Amino acid sequence: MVNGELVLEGLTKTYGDHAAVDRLDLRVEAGEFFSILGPSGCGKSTTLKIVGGFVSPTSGRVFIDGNDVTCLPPNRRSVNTVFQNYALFPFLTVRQNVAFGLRRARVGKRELIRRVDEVLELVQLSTFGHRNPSELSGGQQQRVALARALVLRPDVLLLDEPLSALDAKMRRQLQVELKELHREVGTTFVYITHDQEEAMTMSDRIAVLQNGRLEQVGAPSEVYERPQTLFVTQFMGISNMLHATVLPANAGWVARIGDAEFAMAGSPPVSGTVQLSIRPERVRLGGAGSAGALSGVIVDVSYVGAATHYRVAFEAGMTLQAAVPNDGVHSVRNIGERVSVDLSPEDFRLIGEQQLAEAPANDTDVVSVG
Amino acid sequence: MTTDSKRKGIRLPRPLAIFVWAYMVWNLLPVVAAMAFSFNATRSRSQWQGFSTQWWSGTPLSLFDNEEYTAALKHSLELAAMTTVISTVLGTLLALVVTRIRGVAKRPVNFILMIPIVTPELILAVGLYLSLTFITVWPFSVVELGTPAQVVGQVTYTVGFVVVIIRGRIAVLGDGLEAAARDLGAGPIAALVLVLFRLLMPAVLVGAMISFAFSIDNFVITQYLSSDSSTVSIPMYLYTNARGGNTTPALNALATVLVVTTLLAVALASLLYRWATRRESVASDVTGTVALSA
Ligand SMILES: Nc1ncnc2c1ncn2[C@@H]1O[C@H](COP(=O)(O)OP(=O)(O)OP(=O)(O)O)[C@@H](O)[C@H]1O
Ligand SMILES: [Mg+2]
Repeated sequence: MVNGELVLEGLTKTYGDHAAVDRLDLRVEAGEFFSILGPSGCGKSTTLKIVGGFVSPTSGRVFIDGNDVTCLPPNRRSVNTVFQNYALFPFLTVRQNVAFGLRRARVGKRELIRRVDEVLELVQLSTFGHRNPSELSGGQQQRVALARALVLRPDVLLLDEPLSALDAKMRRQLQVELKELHREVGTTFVYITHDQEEAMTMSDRIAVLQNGRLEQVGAPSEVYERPQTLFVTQFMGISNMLHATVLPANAGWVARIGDAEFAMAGSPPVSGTVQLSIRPERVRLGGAGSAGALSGVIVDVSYVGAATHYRVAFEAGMTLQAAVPNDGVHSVRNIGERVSVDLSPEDFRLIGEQQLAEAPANDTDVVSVG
Repeated sequence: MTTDSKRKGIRLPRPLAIFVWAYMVWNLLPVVAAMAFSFNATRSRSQWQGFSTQWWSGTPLSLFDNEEYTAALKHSLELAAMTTVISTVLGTLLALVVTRIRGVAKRPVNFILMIPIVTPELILAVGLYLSLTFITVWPFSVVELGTPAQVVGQVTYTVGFVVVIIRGRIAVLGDGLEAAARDLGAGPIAALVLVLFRLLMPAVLVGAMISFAFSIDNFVITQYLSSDSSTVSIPMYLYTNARGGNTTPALNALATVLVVTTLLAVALASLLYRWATRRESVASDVTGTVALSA
């Protein structure tokens, strides 16, 4: 069986009267690549430090494979950490760094050599064993840190923004390598990042944190396409936020946005107005004056390589952002051009009604975010 | 990189350059002259009359053959050795403890640690002298004037510097590497010994050398806490005899020993620090300089 199930129960850490982690409940399955995503200062590192044993929680419990480890010191937990700044020992060579944990565990000499060789091969550093950490590039140092933790075969591997110090290209390369590595070793990875793209490309599941609280947890597609809160919607990428009036209908309900009406499925929301979000890539632009669509003017064009982002303004001051792929099929448009905007009701996401209170109250009509 | 950019920096205006050079020469001249006359061929300490090593060794009046000189040399080295060892060990332990203090005690502790450094040496010396002479309570009663009091006095002064240097190093290192060691299975003691002590070594060496240089050079505290002629150090001997008419270039030789040992200690500290931290990143290079100039 696979080890490495991590459960956090009501985890709380307060500094003074500020809660860095606030009643956090999480279950990470054994062998999962699990990301904790959130803005700076939301309590990601604190959570990881509690799991690693470097910070003791104010309240709450940490379980690994059903065992309560809350009070165990770091050296007695089957958890290893890849620190953000790598924390390699500067006075030891790469091999010695990797062997450090094995020595502490009093692993026999022969096995030690075998395991160090093995893990160095795994991270493609076989020929770098005798170098000092200072003689390595950032990416290589990163891999040493990884090897040093993995060689101990922890049940859970914690990674605190391990790629944040690297340039974009190196990052992408290591993202791929990390994912492969995870598949190979099968250990539970708990991966911290504030980069939503990184979290989405790498993870089996993502937990989104804000102010120490869990906002949503789920598969990347789930979190991206069905964000449950306003915060998640915005944090997971540019999204258009629309205020809609709820009208009754025979089946489902009708959302009225400006002059346009959309037949929505499901039971009607309780409140009279709701907030809907729609991804820019689901906003389709048509020629001027197509039937049934909203009509607006392009006020901004930004070319971002694979797509072009347009900002479309409508009467009554509302704007929407549209991402149109540069695939040669869609025509390129210019500022000032009049376009029709086509929205499908199934692309709308109803933002959890309890979140409405947090939304700015003064914009009566339609707001765009981005 | 830093040296490069300095070299490429603005050229000094000529008058300023001359002034800087003059200052350098002025700094070096008295010391070099004093040292040079230790090799004079005659008894004169002001007129050069040829080269000889007679004031260093070979005659009953030479530095290394005369009881008075060798006693002072020996005593100074003894004091320096003891002061160095004790203040380095104490300072390291103190620094380790002090950096772990959190909360209300932090500020007062920091302040008290600074007292010996900011107090004029003379006040400290007089204070120690009075305490050790007139207070009959332990531990003051057991420390007798002479070598024990001199070591106590010098350590009181130097330990503050050691603490400052080592604390600086601890602050720069952060607790990341210690945490990493714990994470990899080291217990608290193993992490301290295998990682923290190893990383502190350069700073400890610097602290030791600074203590040594201070002890060798020290006059005020050593003088106040001395007892009889057997506890005369090099600076004390120089002070009492340098202006007397009956002196020889052997005294210059004695002064030379003082200058050279001090310089060696400081140079060694700087070299050792660089050597021991050679594998660390640029960031700690900076702290090296900071620690040395502290
Ligand atoms: N030792 C501490 N003392 C006081 N406050 C702390 C301490 N450590 C963290 N905090 C606070 O707790 C909050 C969460 O910090 P944490 O380091 O977990 O954030 P993070 O999500 O990792 O952010 P980042 O992405 O910037 O690393 C922050 O507001 C921080 O100021
Ligand atoms: Mg962090």
